[in-house]
Amino acid sequence: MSLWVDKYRPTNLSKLDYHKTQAAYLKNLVQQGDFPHLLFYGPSGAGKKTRIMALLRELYGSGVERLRMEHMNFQTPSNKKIEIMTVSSNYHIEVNPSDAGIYDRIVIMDLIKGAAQTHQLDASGQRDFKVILLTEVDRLTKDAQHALRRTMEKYVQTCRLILCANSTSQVIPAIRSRCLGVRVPAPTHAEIIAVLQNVCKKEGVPLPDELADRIAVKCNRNLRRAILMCEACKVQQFPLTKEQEIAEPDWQVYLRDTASLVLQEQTPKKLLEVRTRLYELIVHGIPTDIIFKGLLKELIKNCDLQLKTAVIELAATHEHRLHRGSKVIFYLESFIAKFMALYLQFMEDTIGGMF
Amino acid sequence: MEWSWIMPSFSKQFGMKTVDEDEDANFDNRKRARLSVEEEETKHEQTVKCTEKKANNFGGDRGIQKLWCDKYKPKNVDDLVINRKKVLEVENWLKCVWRNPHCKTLLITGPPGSGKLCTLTAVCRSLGFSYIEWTNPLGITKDSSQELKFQEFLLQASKYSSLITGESDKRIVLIKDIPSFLLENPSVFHEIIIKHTRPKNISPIVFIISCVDVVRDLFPDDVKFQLNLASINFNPVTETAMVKALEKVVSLERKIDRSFSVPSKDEMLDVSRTCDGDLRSALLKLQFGLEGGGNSDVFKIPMLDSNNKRTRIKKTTSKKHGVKQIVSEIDKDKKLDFFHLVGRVLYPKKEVNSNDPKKFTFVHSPGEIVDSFLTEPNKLVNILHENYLERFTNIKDVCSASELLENSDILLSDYSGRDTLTEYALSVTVRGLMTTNNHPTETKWKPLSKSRIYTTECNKKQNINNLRTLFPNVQSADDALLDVVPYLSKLNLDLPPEKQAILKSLITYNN
Repeated sequence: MSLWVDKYRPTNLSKLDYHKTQAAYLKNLVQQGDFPHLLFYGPSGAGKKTRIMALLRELYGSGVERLRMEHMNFQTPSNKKIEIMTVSSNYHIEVNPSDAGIYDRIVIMDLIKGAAQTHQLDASGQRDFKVILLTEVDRLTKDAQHALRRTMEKYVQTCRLILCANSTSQVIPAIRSRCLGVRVPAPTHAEIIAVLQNVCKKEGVPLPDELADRIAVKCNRNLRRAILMCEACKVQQFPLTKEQEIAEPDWQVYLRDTASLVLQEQTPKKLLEVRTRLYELIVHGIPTDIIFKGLLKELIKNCDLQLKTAVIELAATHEHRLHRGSKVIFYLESFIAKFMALYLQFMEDTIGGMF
Repeated sequence: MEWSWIMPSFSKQFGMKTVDEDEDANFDNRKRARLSVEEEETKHEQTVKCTEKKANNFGGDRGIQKLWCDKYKPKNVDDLVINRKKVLEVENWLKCVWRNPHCKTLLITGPPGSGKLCTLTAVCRSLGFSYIEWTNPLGITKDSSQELKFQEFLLQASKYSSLITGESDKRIVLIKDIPSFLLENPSVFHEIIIKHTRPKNISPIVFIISCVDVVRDLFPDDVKFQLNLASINFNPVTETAMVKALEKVVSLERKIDRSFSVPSKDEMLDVSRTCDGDLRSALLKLQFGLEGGGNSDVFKIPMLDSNNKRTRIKKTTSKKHGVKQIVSEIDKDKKLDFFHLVGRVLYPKKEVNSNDPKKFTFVHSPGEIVDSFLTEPNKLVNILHENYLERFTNIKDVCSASELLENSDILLSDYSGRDTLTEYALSVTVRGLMTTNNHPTETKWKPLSKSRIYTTECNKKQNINNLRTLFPNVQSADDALLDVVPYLSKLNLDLPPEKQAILKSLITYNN
């Protein structure tokens, strides 16, 4: 049994549900002889990967869908062995180099070298280059990104890179300038509703408009989450009703509770409690930018406009600093501490003003 | 050396020496492997021999003196300052080991200088056993060859009898230097040892290890069980026992050399207190203090290297103060333990300037604390981070402290500049935490807790690995954990129970 998200993923550029002009551009790009390196960026759940796969299919035909998984082994100069999982077809190879942690540079260099030094086997094939698909490029270390820049130039004859990232802000300018940037914006509210209705129709599940609307609000413009929410709704209660409860991811609830803890009491003791919860979130693999965003969103609900600006500035500063350092907890904690101090001051001022 | 014309075939591995020769040689050549063939000697003979030797040493060249800890090494069980029960434990094991074919290994642990080897040697001597010790080969050797050598050693040492003494049945194999390659791969060690101890007719093996970490790595519980390993743990030498031993040594030494004055009991106590039950270090300190403060010029050089200018100037020629002064000098160099230093940062002691109450100096210099952690900056920063919050009461103080911690982390993360930046980073942390806590908690002391940064990282990796075993075709772990996994649990999928459990662990949060 496959999930609805996978089952109804469009595989063809012409079958995409939204961003149709962009799809047409991509199609054009394939038909032109010159294919540049690409950098797809956009929020998660917007359809970057779907577009990339559709593009590959457009390039090489249905052969790219015959995927095989491989474990590749790399060895660092200090003889540490790293195992990375790759997904590949005859025409492309997909890797998430950030899985290797701080050794991502070695993965990038070895992998691209290995893939690029061999030419396409089938000379009569449509293209004389292979595609290397790197996901989560924004999580790569700076070292790896510089290595990527060099290898990109060197092997342009035999391979093209398609990079996939959530945001370009963590991608070094040198890479950005070498790629054609393709921004995949998150689908709009109406687009999400349309997709949900479409999926439900194919499944034979009647979806009340109100529920579709509520899901679209709740999913944060993340289509993947929207479809999963819809499927979870169906499992929990069938037939679907409009007042039905929509399940939220556990981490979101946890994050919200954490934020309310911060608002409850502004003391070092509370901060200690919050720290434990932050560790818990990190352990569960929630990326720090999501934690920052989630906290910020909840925290500013109780602030006036002036305070809001200050808090957002704080969050931005600390998130930026986080990328310069390495121990994420320091920055999260520092942000919370600063917020607590600000908020305490704000509360004292409001109460003082009342009398 | 009457037997120098016979060289045993395996002399490449370990030279053979009798005890007496060894005594003379080990001062300058301690690292050489040796086979000690102990002779039964009466106490009387020994003392005669000892005095002879002393006369030799001190009659001639003054420069080459023997270290007291070697010179007065206890030769008899009665001379040991170790608790009698411990000695009996060792003795009993050695007596029983020949009868019991299953229990062939003994592990002796304890802090350095607590008399592990001395006890074993003395007991062996009293029982008439000999022992053969493994020493790591010097020079650069490849791991594999060291491994081979070690295996060869074990085989030869326990199977073949000595050509010189012709006595093999009462011999013990002693392993005190753990071959370095084994420290890195304990599993190889387990294999070798378990394979080696399988035959019944081998000599018993005694391991002497003082480092707790090594013991934990090399002898996990299952290996202990397989080996049927007996273990004896030595405690640090008690203060009274140490003072007694020091007094005895001093009185013996006075018989030969009268050039120093006998230190008072308080001074002895001082020495023993600074050594934390390490008798060897206590003896070294005492000898250094007495002879260095007394007449020899050789010992003055290291003292002048000391950082503390005040004591250098104050140094008098008075022999009476010699010991105390030098003990305190050596004490300055002694590394404080980790928690002590952390405590100094978290609970800074200030000395307020009497003229201006706003000015103050720290009793313990932050610079010294920084210096002691230059090699492992992250360890200090992490533990300080884990523990600073509990000592703060004002959130504004926390703001500045946490920002400084951030700064130091950024400095530490700069890989290319770490040589210079480490010191700055540590300085920022240490000085920052010492100065920012303006409203410390009332309670005096709270236990320190371990930093959770590393375990968090490990658990995260574990979770991601779990995810990958659960769904091998997941490409982006982040996306999967954020969106897919939370809903999968709600879809009532048909998963085997162990997978269900993994899935559950991925979405459960502790409150």
